Amino acid sequence: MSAWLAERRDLAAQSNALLPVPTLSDEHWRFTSLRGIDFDAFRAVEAPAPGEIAGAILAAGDHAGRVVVRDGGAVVDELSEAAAAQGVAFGSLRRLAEERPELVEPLLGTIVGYDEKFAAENGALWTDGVLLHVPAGVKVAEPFHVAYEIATEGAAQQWRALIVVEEGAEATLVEEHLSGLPGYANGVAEVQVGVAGHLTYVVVQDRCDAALHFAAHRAEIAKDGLLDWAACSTGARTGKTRMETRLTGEGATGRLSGVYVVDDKRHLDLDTTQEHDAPNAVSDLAFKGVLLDEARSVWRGVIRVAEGAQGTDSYQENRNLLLSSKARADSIPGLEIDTNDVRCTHGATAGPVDPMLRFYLMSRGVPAAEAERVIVEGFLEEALERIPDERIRVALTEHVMRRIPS
Amino acid sequence: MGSIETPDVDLGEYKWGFRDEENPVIKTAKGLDEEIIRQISAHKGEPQWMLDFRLESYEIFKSKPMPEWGADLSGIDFDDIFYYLKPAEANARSWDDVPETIKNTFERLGIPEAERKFLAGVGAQYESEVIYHSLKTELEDQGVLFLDTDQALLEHEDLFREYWATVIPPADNKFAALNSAVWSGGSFIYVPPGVRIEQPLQAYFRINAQNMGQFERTLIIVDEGAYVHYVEGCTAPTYSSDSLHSAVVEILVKKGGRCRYTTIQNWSSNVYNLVTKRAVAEEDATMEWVDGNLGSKITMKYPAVILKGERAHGEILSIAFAGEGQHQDAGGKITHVAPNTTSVITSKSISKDGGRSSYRGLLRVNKDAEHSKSKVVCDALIIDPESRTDTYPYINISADQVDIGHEATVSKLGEEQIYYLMSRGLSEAEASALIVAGFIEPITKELPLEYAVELNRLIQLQMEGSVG
Repeated sequence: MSAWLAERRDLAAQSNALLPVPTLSDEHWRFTSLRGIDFDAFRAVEAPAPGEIAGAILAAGDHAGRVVVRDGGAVVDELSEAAAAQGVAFGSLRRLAEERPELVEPLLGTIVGYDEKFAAENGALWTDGVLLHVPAGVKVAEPFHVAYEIATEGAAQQWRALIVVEEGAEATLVEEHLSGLPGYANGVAEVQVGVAGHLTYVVVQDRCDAALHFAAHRAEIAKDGLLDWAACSTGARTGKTRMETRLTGEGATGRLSGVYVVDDKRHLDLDTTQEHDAPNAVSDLAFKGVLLDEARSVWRGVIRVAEGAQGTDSYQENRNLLLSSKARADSIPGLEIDTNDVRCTHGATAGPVDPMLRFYLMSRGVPAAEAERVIVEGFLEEALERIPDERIRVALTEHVMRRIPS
Repeated sequence: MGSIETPDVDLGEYKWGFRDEENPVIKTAKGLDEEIIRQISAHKGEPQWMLDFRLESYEIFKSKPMPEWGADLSGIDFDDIFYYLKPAEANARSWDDVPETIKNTFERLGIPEAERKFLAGVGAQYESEVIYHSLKTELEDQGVLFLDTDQALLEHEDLFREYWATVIPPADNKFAALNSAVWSGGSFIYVPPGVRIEQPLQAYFRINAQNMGQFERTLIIVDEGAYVHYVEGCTAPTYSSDSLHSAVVEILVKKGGRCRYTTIQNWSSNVYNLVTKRAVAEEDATMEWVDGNLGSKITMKYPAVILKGERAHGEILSIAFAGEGQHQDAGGKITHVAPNTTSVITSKSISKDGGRSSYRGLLRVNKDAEHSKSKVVCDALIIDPESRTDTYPYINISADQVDIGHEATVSKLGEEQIYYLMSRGLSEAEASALIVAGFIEPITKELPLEYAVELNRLIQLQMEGSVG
């Protein structure tokens, strides 16, 4: 291992040793209990043999590159010749940290630091993941694909991603967390969109019923850059996913779309930020959730507008559809505004299926159960339709609708 | 009064920052210990159970840590506060008996003579004791009780004890515990079944002595099918060191009853205003809080309604104005316990000259509260780049078939609106004041006329010189 990487791991390890596991009395963990989880019971496992990618949404179709990380390491590590010819670096982060340190060293650990327990643990222990580096002016039409899977029961998967789209470059990355086997996943994704760069970033979390899923994604968008970020969560027992967006340059845009369908006794916790540090930037967040059975969702979102970020335009909404009397949704939207020339709006709702809508559909001959599906699909579509790539949009819609009982 | 003329007032000095000479009969030493609590209780001639209640509350107060969320309370020194002060003047029954110095104070608060006649009854708290009450005979004939809380304990002990601390127990929070230990004064209102008091009941509160903590305790019981509108307004003179105001207001609205509680708080800019207000609404009852926060250094106040009975309705209208050096951390809490309950929270805040206003709300829908509906709307206006606003609306839902909505917006004064008004001959300051008055209009229109006028006047004064 390179000296710089060892040093960084050491720094993270020191921080990790000092930070306690969060409890319900920590503001950000008020609704997500980690009691009874024995984190030491999970163990790091080297990459098992490659196999079929089960349940991947992008398993079929063209792609510009693919990495599959199974347990602790990459078992698939491919980059298309066309993308390679354009100067794109894509592949296993463990491999590229050694081969292309000039792309990794300056950024790794600078966007997501080590001041939070799970991020610190990941900084010390990550084993593999992905690097995507798209050089200035390069535009790649086909999506890049990374999939993470726990293939050994009880494995701890510490994955890490570094995604850089330089000035004027364009790319799409689809990140999937496959169903796999029960285990503990903890990841960090650091994203940088350069001046007038454009990244479409789709994250699908479909871990199995008994899995724990923790992740910290954080993106920085430079002047006139555009991040189109869609997150879809249908899996895992419990955990927490952070999705943070910082607009660092004037005129930057963050479009953040979320869809979640939570069933059984699952507990989903999403933490989002829209941090406006530059003038005239736009952020637009729309998260829509459907809750079934005894599921529970927690969404906490904050818009922060720094002093000097004049002309900010920021929107934030979280809408929840409760399909069961035992399901529960907590929404905690927040605004922290430090300047005056802003337009910030947020909205949060939770409620059952509108009986009038159902009644209307049934009066048209649609059976009750089907009517509910139609309403749910229409509800989720408002967020899903924001995904620009049609193939991904269609695949995701099918994926989430499979969770709704018919 | 309602015109947009802006009087020439020096904002460097608190407008109502006058004070009278202090002349207290009883004043406990600074700081708090068991002995002081015994002194307070003995002086008031309270029954033993109340002394025990105070002492228990004091233990709870000591055991609870300071809240770590919300506003910065590190400037409070509990040892540097007088916890009890009884003014020289005895309780007066009619306006004529009220001592001249105290009359002057009310005079300067700008309560016109004509308006006093309009008042159904007046309980004014001057320092820690209620100085006078005038209750219209007709109210007394209807069996309405409107008196200061100390008196109520002595004269109506059974009724008092039945409801006392049932809505806000001492262990609710650190400041409720403090109030429970050292409370003094406040209003006690009982409205018998079916009695509807059409005119608002009003009380004015003032802090006069330096470092004088004000710990009034209000208890309102609205019996079945009854109605009352209680209005409480505060203004306080400016002093150099910090004062603490920590009141507790408990309200019980029984089946089919309705209560509206209106406060316009304008403490001087050195007061910590930490108040616990909560109401329980039973079946078909309605509870409305109208809460205005203009003054104080720091306010933390979240009026609450527990919708305990079916079809109960709760409403909170909140307005906050944070100027230089002020932090208004205000909001509201609604808990839906019973099915088919409804609630609305409307919050408007204005931040100016580096002030910070925060909306902090909690909307909770418990498991059995099916078919409940709630709507929360928060709008914030930021006048200049130095100011700050935050919105923290917590929403916890654990019931089926509920409909919950929350919307919030933050914006600045519209340049086009100002430009339009200026093109009609208004100065920039006048235009701003007018826009702000329009912004808070949903709240002012709910106030009694004289309060609406006073609120608009205060906002005008605050807005002066803010733009250009």
